[in-house]
Amino acid sequence: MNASHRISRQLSAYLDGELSPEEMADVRSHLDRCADCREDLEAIRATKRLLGRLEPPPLPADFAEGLRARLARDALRRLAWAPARWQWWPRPAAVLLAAALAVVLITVPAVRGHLDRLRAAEVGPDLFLQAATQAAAEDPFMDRAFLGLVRTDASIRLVGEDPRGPVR
Amino acid sequence: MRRPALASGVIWLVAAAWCASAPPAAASQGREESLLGGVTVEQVLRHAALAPQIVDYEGTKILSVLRGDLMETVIVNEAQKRPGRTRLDFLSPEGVAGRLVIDDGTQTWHYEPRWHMVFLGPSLAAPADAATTFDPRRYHIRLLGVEEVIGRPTVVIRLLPRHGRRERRLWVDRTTGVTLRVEDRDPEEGLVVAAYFTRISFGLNLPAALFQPRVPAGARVVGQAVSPGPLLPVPVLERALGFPVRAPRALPGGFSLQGGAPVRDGPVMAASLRYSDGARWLVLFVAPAARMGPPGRGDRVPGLGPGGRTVVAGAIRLIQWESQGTRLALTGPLSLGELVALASAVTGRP
Repeated sequence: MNASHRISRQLSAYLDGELSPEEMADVRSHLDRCADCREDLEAIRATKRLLGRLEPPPLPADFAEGLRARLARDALRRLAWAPARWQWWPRPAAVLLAAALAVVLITVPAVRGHLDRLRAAEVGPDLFLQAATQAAAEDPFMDRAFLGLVRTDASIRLVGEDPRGPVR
Repeated sequence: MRRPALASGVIWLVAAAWCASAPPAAASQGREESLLGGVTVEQVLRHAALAPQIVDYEGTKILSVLRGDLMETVIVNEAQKRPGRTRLDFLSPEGVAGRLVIDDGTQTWHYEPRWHMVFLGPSLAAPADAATTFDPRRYHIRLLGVEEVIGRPTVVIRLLPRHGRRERRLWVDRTTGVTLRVEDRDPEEGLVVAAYFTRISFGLNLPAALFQPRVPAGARVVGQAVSPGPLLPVPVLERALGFPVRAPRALPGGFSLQGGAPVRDGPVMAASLRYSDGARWLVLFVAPAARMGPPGRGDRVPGLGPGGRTVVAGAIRLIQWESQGTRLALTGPLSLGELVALASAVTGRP
């Protein structure tokens, strides 16, 4: 970009006194040397003078009423928007609640099933030993005190107690 | 003392006469009969099986029971009143002291004082017809001699199941037929259970009240999961449980399927299938793996897969494993090696 082109874009601002002191001095110095820019400056100044003489256009007769009506509509829209937004707030909560309920309904049986499976694994040996004593009782030469001990130990462990440590 | 001795003599004569009517043994019993005064070993065994129905006694018994790698010693007072009623008062160790078991021949009543609980279950008494149904052909029977136990003459007999390796030695009181001492020995595991009286009294006319259970005030009564009902065919069992029960009709060693029963306790629902070779019993438990996790207790068993475990309670050993989505357990008076071999026959590839 050459200096003339740059200065020509600043002429309007120069006339309005909107440039910095350094830029004003720079434009002034250029105008002293450049006739084209001086012509441009005069044209802009004449245009501004003409525009300053123009009368402002008259407003429509219903402008004030139209403006008030528009402001009222905007106010009503804002008022209408506010309750709607407040009506919406329970909906996410309901969605969350439903999601939580779904999670509970899915996970509780799964967790319970898992716990039941673990519990079954834990008590299985004692239950099986207890049941086995009934088959062992068919043996007429199996010692009854021994069978009683096995069954009673198993019964106690099945209710969650363990007086002598687990059977290994 | 004279009257009990006379009564015992009469019992012996009656039992000997009754037993003599039983089928004779296949083998020659000449030497044995000379030792036993004309009575065969099989007749002594039948007498031993009959004793609970015809003899009253009260005594103190020592039990030695294999638990894991250790032998536990338990002392119990044992009383018996004919026909087939038993009372067990456990004395030691501390964990069992005060435990009371009364068996009236149809039901077992167990009171545990530490937890103030009563457990009810099927009777542990031998079948009343055990002396008749005892089949000596299912065993290798050998007379080992005559010995005294707590000052009483006994007949020492070795019983080895025809297809088994675990032997039982019985010391049968010559006068009453009561087994004063018994030992189960396994070639792999050694002595697995032993029981012997340190004192015993016969013909005491024990009061019936000793064998009548009374639930202590406030005690919690718990029923056992063991079903006392008859054994069911497998299809009936499957319908009752709601899942397929695949079990072989026969297993190596002469075991054949007798029938099954459901086992239900809390989260456990399994099928129990009973097998017998006429001398030994086996119980196979089957449950869906989806309902029963892998066993967390017991010693690991190589060859039974990652979930293979075993626990032992004296003469009874239990193994557990998983195969194709099914949790399986096999228990019986067999060694670990025998059970593992049977497990492979159950599933094909344990």
